Amino acid sequence: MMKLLGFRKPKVDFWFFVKVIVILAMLFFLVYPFSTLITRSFFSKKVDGMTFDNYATFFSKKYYLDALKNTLYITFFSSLTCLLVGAPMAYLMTRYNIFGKKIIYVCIILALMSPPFIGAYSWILLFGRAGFVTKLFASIGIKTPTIYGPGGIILVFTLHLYPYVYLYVSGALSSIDSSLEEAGENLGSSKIRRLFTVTLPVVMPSILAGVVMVFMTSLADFGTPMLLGEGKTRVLPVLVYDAYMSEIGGDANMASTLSVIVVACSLSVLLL
Amino acid sequence: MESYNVAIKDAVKTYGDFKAVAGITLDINKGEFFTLLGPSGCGKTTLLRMIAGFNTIDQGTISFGDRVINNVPAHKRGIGMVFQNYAIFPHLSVFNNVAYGLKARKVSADEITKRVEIALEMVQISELAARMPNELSGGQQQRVALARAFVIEPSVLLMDEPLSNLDAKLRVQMRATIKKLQRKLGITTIYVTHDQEEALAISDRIAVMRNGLIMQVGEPTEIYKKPENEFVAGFIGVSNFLDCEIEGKDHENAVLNVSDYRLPGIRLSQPYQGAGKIAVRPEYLTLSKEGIQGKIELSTFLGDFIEYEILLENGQTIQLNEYTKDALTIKPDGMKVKVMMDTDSIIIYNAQGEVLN
Repeated sequence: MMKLLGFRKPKVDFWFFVKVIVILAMLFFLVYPFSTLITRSFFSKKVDGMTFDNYATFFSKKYYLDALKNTLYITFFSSLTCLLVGAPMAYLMTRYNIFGKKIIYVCIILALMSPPFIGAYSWILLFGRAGFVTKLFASIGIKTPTIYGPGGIILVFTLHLYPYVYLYVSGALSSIDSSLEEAGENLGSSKIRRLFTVTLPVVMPSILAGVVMVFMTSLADFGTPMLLGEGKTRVLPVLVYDAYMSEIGGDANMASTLSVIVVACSLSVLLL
Repeated sequence: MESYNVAIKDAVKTYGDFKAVAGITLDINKGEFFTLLGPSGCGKTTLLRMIAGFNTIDQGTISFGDRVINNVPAHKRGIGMVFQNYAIFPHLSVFNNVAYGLKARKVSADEITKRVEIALEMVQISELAARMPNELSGGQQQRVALARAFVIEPSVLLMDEPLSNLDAKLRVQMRATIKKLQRKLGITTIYVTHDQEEALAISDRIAVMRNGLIMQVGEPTEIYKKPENEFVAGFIGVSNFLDCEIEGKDHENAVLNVSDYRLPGIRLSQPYQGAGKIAVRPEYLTLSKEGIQGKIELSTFLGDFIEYEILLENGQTIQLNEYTKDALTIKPDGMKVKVMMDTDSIIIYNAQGEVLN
């Protein structure tokens, strides 16, 4: 019977145990919490049993839809600005001899290592309402642009997340087969034409991978929009936090619903 | 575009203290299939890349026709090049790969289609036009690279070891394809290889290179039969080098003493007496009743011929090939034999390695 179904008796050796442990770990740390999250999102305090009530609330209330809009707006533009900063920087760093290349490299990695909200906090110290630079300029009568709101959030995300794009693209650029560019040159393409017809298309998968990393990280980040949004610029991760920790008693089910929507957003980008 | 002759004059390329190309002068005729042949590190690829414009020319000049191209950027030289690893653009279909150079030249769309189709036809891959490079075999990629290089009607076609990544059978087949194509198009072609058999098979003329210098330039038969120095004799085909003593006062009628056997009646071009060297190919050596004494160390049957490794009495080991159709039996290892040579087909060098006959 076992044979008929195509099962073979598993060989019990070291790798069998490794497999079992990995599968159990996956079930416990990934599948269990995630399925709980999804199930809980279908329950509501107001209705008995399974319901789409939470989702209906989400898609009907301006409060939630605005947050979704803000989230997508901020993540989209953060990804775009990271691309515009990271990719050209990678090109310059791999193709030209730049003074202090190693130090620049370390600085770039450093930006990636610190959590974004620390950056957000330092920007507040500089450009916040009581910030050092703000006061300095105010004393000579110049008004500095505000760091709070979507613009500030995008700025902080850009400065912290462009290393993703940089690292992916510079890796791809330095391992690209140089004879491809030579072939383009040989066939009559100028430097700029070569960049757009050979180099960029060849490293495109890496560029996209870097941008997806930025998109997902900025989508999920909570600290930066919390600090710089000041409750006015609401994004989904902040709403999740609010829903759990609400003063009127948290709504864990609504928080779950919001989380599922965040996950759905990042998943759809990943699958695209 | 019209094909040009290529004139290289005292070309030098240095990397630090190392001279990769140490002053080369070559005249490559219009429409000629010219091969740069040499062991790895001899500077042949460096020279090719100087012609292509990927390496700067430190000294000397390279010109196409009357035009010196030293300062013309690579993308304006109008050269077609086939790279060793093909360098097919992975993101473009076969058609678009071949069309790339034409698009860069702003050829009209209709004409591009027409010319690409003809080019694909010529390398016999018309049916693959829509495929992506990762769906092609090595030989097919090679054909794409070839079509892409000549479709732009280059003034000069450069090939950098284009066959080295193919298996032996395909290599011979592609070799014939390339040669026929080159004849048909009449493009001046400069071909780089380290494979002497390939060079002999495909070229109109060959330049043998070593340490950044030209050792000999000539037609394949000339290079094979009359190598100007020991290096060329050793590099092209298999040569036995035998120590000998050159005797006799009359250089028109000298005697060669090889391992105590005297070969009389040798014509030398200049008077010379003393130690020398003979280069002789395995097929010009025969086993006979009279000759240099030796002992068979190893006999190897290779189908159409038998290869004997023979230890001579002077301690030198030589290789001798006997055609199976001429041999009665395969002689066993350890057998005492006498070796004769066809004195018209040997090259005699003096102690300095200069040719004497």
